[in-house]
Amino acid sequence: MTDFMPYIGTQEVDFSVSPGAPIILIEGENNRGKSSLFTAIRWCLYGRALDRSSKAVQDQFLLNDNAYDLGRDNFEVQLSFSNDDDNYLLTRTCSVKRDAKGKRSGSTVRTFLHRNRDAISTEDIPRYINEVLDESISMFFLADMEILKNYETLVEDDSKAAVEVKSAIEDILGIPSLISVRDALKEIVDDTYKEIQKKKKENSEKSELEQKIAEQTSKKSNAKSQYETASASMAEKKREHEELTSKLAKIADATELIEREKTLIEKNENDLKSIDKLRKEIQVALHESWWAPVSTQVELKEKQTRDQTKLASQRHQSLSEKKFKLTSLENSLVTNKCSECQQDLPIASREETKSAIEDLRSEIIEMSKPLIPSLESLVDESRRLSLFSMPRKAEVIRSLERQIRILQNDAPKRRQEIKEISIALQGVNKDEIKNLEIQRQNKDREIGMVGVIIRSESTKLANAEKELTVLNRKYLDAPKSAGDMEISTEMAIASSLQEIMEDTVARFRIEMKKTVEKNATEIFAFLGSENVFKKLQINENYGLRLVDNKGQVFDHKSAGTAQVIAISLILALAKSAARSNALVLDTPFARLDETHRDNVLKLLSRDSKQSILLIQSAEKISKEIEPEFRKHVSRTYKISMGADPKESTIALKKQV
Amino acid sequence: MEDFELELDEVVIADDVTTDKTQVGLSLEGNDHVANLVDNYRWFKDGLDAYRTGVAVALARNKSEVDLPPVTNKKTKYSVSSLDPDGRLRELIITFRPELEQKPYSASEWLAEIGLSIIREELDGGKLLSEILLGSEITNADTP
Repeated sequence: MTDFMPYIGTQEVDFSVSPGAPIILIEGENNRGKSSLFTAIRWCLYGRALDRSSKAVQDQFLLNDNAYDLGRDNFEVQLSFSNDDDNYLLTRTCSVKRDAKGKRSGSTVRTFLHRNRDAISTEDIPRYINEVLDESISMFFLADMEILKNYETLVEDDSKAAVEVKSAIEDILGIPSLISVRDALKEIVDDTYKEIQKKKKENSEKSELEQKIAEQTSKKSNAKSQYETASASMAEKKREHEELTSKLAKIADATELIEREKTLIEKNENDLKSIDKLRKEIQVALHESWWAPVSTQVELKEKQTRDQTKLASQRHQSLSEKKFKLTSLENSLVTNKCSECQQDLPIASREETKSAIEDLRSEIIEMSKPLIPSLESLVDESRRLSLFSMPRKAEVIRSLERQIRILQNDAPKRRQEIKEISIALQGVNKDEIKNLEIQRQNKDREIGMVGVIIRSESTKLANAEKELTVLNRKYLDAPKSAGDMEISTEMAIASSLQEIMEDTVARFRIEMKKTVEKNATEIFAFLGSENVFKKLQINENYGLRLVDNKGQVFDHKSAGTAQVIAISLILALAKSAARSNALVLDTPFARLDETHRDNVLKLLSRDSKQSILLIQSAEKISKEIEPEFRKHVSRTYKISMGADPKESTIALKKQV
Repeated sequence: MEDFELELDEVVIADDVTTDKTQVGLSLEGNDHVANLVDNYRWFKDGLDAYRTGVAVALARNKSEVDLPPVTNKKTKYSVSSLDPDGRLRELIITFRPELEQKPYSASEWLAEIGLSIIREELDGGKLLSEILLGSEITNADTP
């Protein structure tokens, strides 16, 4: 170590021991640096330092004051050790920061670990260290006996600290290894159970898939069967259809004639219907105009009547004119003036006028005779004739009859053709042909229906195949299922193993506790001078109790007894530990009397464990045991004050 | 037969010298013609139409009672009110035969017998109905 706490400069201590001499003894006065050396070992291993009151000390304050004052900012501890045939070199250095005023304001720590000369990465160093000596159990191997309260918890039963101690003790005894095996087994059981559940689920899913596949297969089979049946039926029906067609083809002429006959008959029937309709129209026309036969005469009479009426009117007009002229001539004869030019009439003209008057009178008399027929009778006749006028009715009747005649004209020819067809078809079984035709039509329908079934079944078949492909793919992709028996067996084995391990852990714990209890009792008995105590009893939480010879629990108040109990436990644990570790005991005799001190030294002497004892120089070893004890000490170091009270040095005092 | 036709087999209708008939009848022959024209030729809706048309044909052909073929007893008679509900038949007869003005319905009986006989004969002879009733088209068209 360099510039660590009171140790200025570089100090080196060799902890290696010779066979038969497992003890390294380091002596020193109070406050010279025994605990600092102890702290150096702890700090190097775990990076933590504690003061006397078990409080953490900041790294920058571990640097030697004088060194710091001399301007050195770094300190270092290096520990060389071996474990399970591996050699380790652990180096922890600290660089202290200075603030503007030159005070320690922080630090940077770096750790290096070499195992068999191989550098271990920084992040893996704690794991390696804890594998050698876990920090949680270090209190039993790096034992600062001055801080006895660390061990006082051992005599308490249920405190949280006691539980932690119990855990540490079990660590030492190797129980956690078993527990970890058990837990690992439990994990295996849990995983197995999960796996089983998963398998069961998978099995269930797979079973469901199998069921679906079976259903789809059944559907497919059914559809295929239906499809094949329908296809066979289709083939049969097509064959029958072809047969019927062939038969009908052979009598195609007859069939054609029958068709023709049918067409002609239908035409006839239609014509007859049309004729009947036309007849009805003629009937209506004749009902409304039954006088049609006299229409021509009516027209003639109307014309005649019109002519007569016109003549009568003309005669009437002419008579009026003549009468007017007569009157005029008569007036001119009276006035002797010309009726036209108003000139005096010459005598000759008067005579002519008289003659004209006579002629007119004769004409008027003649024209005044009654008309036959009279104008009134003509008007009456005209009115009567108007009742029988029938504008265009005759044309309608003619047109209707013409249509009937046209329709009727075709009928004989058609009838003849039907007759000829009938003759041609003599001997032909029309019913049979009709029957064949009906059969063929039925076959057409049946083929159509079977076609629908085939299409439907074909679709079902395709769907089932598609579904099956998907299901089969899922089935193949599904994990391989385990049988129920296999699953049960796996579970049973795992559960049995777990139970065995539970039992083993419990037994091992009991056995180890008994072993520790036995060893501790032996050590306590060896260390103690009193014969009043029967044994050290360890409870469930590794609490230690003294039981007297009467079997009663003894509630001790003595710090020395507590220290003896602690040392007994430490040594018992060291003896019972799963792995062999060196012991570093700082000030183990602080509260012990000489007898106990001697007994501890005797015990350490006879044990082969490597032990480093940091003891006060004042703690003299009794002369009775010293010669024998010294034989078991490989090296003795002496811690002394340096040139400055703040400085200590450690030097080899004696080597065996 | 229509409901207004009454069966009067072997009934001789009395001839009234002063009043015209209110019911008219046809001989067995005339009735046969009517049945033939209505049922076989089916040119007429019923006997009344055939009867009236027969009268019109006889008038058109300017037939007289002397042209009446020998007929046997009257068989069927029609009510004048059914036969001539609008008086048109009477008017027609009077128009063409003013001398029959006093008893046009009595005259209608022989006119119908003659007309129906003509229609029957000519139809049986192959003439068209329109030719019988209206004359040939050419003749009709050429008639001034």
